[in-house]
Amino acid sequence: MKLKQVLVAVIGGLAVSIAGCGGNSASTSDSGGSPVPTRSKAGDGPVTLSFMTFNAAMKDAAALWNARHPDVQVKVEEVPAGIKGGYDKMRAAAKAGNPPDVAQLEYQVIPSFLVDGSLADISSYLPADAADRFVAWTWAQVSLAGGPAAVPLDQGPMGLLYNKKLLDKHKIAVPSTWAEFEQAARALRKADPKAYLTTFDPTDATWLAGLAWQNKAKWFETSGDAWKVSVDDSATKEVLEFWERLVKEDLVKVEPVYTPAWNADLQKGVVASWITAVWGTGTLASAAPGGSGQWSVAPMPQWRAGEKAAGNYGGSSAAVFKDSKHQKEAAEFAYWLATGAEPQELFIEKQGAYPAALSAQGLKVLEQPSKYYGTNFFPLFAEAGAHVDTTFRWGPTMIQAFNRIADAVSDATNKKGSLVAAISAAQQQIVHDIEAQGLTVG
Amino acid sequence: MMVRRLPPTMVLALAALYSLFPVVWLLIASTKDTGDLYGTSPFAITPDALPQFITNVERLFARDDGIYLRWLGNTLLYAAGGALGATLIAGLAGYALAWFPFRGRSTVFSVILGGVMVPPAVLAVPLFLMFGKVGAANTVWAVLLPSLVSPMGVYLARTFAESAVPADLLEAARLDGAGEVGIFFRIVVRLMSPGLTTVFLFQLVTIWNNYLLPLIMLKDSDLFPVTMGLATWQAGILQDSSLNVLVIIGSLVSTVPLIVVFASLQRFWRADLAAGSVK
Amino acid sequence: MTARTARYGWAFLAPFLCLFALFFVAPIGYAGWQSLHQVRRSGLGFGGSAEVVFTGLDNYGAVLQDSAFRSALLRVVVFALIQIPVMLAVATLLAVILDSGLVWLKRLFRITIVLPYGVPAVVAALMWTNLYAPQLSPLNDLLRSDQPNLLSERWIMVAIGNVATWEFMGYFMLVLVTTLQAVPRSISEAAQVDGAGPLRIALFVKLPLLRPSLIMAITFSIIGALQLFNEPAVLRSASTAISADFTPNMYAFATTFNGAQPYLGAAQAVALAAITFALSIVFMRGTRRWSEA
Repeated sequence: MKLKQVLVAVIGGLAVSIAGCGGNSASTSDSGGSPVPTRSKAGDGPVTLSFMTFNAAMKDAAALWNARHPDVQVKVEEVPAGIKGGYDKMRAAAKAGNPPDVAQLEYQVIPSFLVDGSLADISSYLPADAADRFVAWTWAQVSLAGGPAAVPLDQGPMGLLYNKKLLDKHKIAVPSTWAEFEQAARALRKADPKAYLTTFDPTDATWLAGLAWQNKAKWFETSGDAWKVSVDDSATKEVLEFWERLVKEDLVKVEPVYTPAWNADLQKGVVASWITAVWGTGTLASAAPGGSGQWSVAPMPQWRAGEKAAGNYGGSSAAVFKDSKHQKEAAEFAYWLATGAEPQELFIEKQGAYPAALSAQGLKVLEQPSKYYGTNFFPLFAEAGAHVDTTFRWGPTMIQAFNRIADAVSDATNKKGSLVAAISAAQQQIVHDIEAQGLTVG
Repeated sequence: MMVRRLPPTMVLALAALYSLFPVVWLLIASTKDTGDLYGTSPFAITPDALPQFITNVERLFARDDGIYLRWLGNTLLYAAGGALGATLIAGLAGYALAWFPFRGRSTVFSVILGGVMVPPAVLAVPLFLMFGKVGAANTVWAVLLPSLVSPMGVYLARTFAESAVPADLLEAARLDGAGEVGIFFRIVVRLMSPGLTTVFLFQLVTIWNNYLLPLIMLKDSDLFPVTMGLATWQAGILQDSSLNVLVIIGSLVSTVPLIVVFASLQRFWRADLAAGSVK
Repeated sequence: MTARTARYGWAFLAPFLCLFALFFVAPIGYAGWQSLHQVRRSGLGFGGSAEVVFTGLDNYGAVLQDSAFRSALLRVVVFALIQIPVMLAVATLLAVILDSGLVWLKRLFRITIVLPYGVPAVVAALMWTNLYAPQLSPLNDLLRSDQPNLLSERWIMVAIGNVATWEFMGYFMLVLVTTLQAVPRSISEAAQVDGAGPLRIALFVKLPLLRPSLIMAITFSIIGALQLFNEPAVLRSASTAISADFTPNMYAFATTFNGAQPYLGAAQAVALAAITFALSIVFMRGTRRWSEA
């Protein structure tokens, strides 16, 4: 008896839901690998662009655009963050011939999408001098295959966020070189056995890259038709030797960041600083809301006194897909996201993002002091951004390469072994991976 | 007599505590807001627990025009609809394999059993390409149809069909002139109901937990199941810390339908239905 | 009778077989085809020009020679050898107790113990990463120490095993209880008349009757353990001890998606499926005389 009732209820529910869904899916632009363009010519009715992103603020940005462009409407599709499957989704969609029109891609994955062959060359849709309107290295990142395939949105120049209250309490000066950093770490451990100067996260290979980047490491290069891989070059080894020592002597806390456990450590003064990009200011403020007024910002410690080198950590672009039916409109939207005052102000205020577009770097909102950090930190990061090595390049298989690096370095860290040996092992694996793609490594 | 009950009851109580302990954490965590969440001890209950809980629930359903409710509805469709269909189909198949000897029966069964061994990751991308070709990716069917196939369900159904259906009962029914379809729906289903309920439950949970297929198939967040929705929010915490609380309260609320399903299916686990039907 | 039986047999099987062919066999066939090919690109690889080349069993050779794959496989085999007996011993104990009728609040216990089975991996991840991290864990709070750190390399297998046991203990208890309850009361009543107490009945009457179900439970647990994916994957973001290739299934996933090598990934997945199949068959054949009660 009950089974019948359940059956009726479910089938009824099914019918209602399908009716509802049917109505809904008719209004989205693509619902399957349909090869025939449905709305391709101007004047044929409003164009709908699909925009895949993992950034929640993009919805607000799209709303701003939609209000001003009734003929080109943007529909935001939220996907999980890149490493959690977002990029897999985009690539699978592109392979099926049904990609979004625009997607937010971090710089390090652009080569992978280029190798897939899924991005469009949008140079004809952008202003002729577009290349000059962006920070040089970011433009280089989006133009690897000739013309630009994406518009740089923001960048991630690195600096040091530190718990001023805690360091002052133990009379520890803010380090300006890595040697001073090591001394400060020792001093803090001595003063408070429960506290650590900073976290070392061996699982975050993008961050490790940023550290190596500061020391002018050159992980990937191209030479004619061949790739060159040197993830274990001497600059990187120097960096890893340093951190290996800190780990072995228990001077830094080893744990993944962006976790509730790390949040708790920040709040409780167990971890006293974070070497991160400009957008990390927002992350830390959310992670430790009670720390307002206690934290401050300083430049990244240097390898040689007096230098101003900085690494880059993160930063993304808005890319246009080759199979998009509306490449022109998509490119215009991407360009607006990167250079428009309104969207950029939104990202700056909400997320502490720092623009890649030169025009946006003059926005008034960048002059607001931050309540949390007691000062306006943007000039510091702007300065750092000007000293990011512009010749750093990513390789064709970064997500997998990051796995190799993170796994090797994490394993060595857990065993308190040699990080230098680990990066060399990762180097071998990465070369092998690239060759397995059918590419040549010189 | 009463004393004999105490030790076994204590063992079960211990197991129940072990099972509930993380859920209790979740319950308490959903009564806190972002600041208290990691500021207070995990099992500590703050004085404003109840009003904060209600606020959190309100925020959950208000977010993005009530998208969470839509996600729950989708999950119900995929999981309950899929599991119901899968149970019927698997039940038929299991019964056939148990009680209808025909040539090639054991080969067919081995092939089906092989299906259990296939990691879902292998299936996801080819399925996506298949559905994409007929323009059906990013639809409800892309998630629902593959969910109707449960090799494990067939295996379970066969096992339960073998043990729950007495041979003489079938003989008797056939001699009485009952049609095979009638026998299945009127007699066998009743006898197998505890087993079929297990199959239903198994497939319900499998579909509910299947993250990879919806991830690859679905573009519209309107079509997401609640697991994907929560994962999207969780990934967005870096940029919007208010999502932290929503993920927790959303997780809590997402367990409620399953508890309801489990509770309401309890009555099907009565095996004394078979008693007295064999003359 | 035989012809009619055969017809109805196939008819009842038909719905399942059609869907199975479409949504299982076809994709697996595709994956199998993929596993026999590789991709060749030219130049720097930009532009997507790729040639798909038939390479026979080369991918399988690469998989079997890959020490990372072998380590991952060893890891899950060891995991299976420890976690499965623990989990099923507890599940059996609970099932026998539940069936014995010796307890109060039977229904309540049944629901609460089965509940973890219904908790999705996303939610379980949330719960367990918060309960395992020493900064947040009530266990570490109680012990007033950072040790044991269940997310550290030393304890991570225990942590994963615990999550898996927590998730599935109740489900297997349910399956076993269902089997026990299908046993006619007359048998245990007869034993009681003979003077056997509940413990003797449990050991000598019920346990033997559970053998077929236990064999099935062990078989499926072996499959689940060898294909371990969800539990380590969800703990990965909170621990430095879980690599992308921690288990064979995770490795296949990483190869296919992160590494954009669907052909090699397909070979890894098919190899894993084949090994799983072989080990399960060996187990089932080996215990055949016990599974036919």
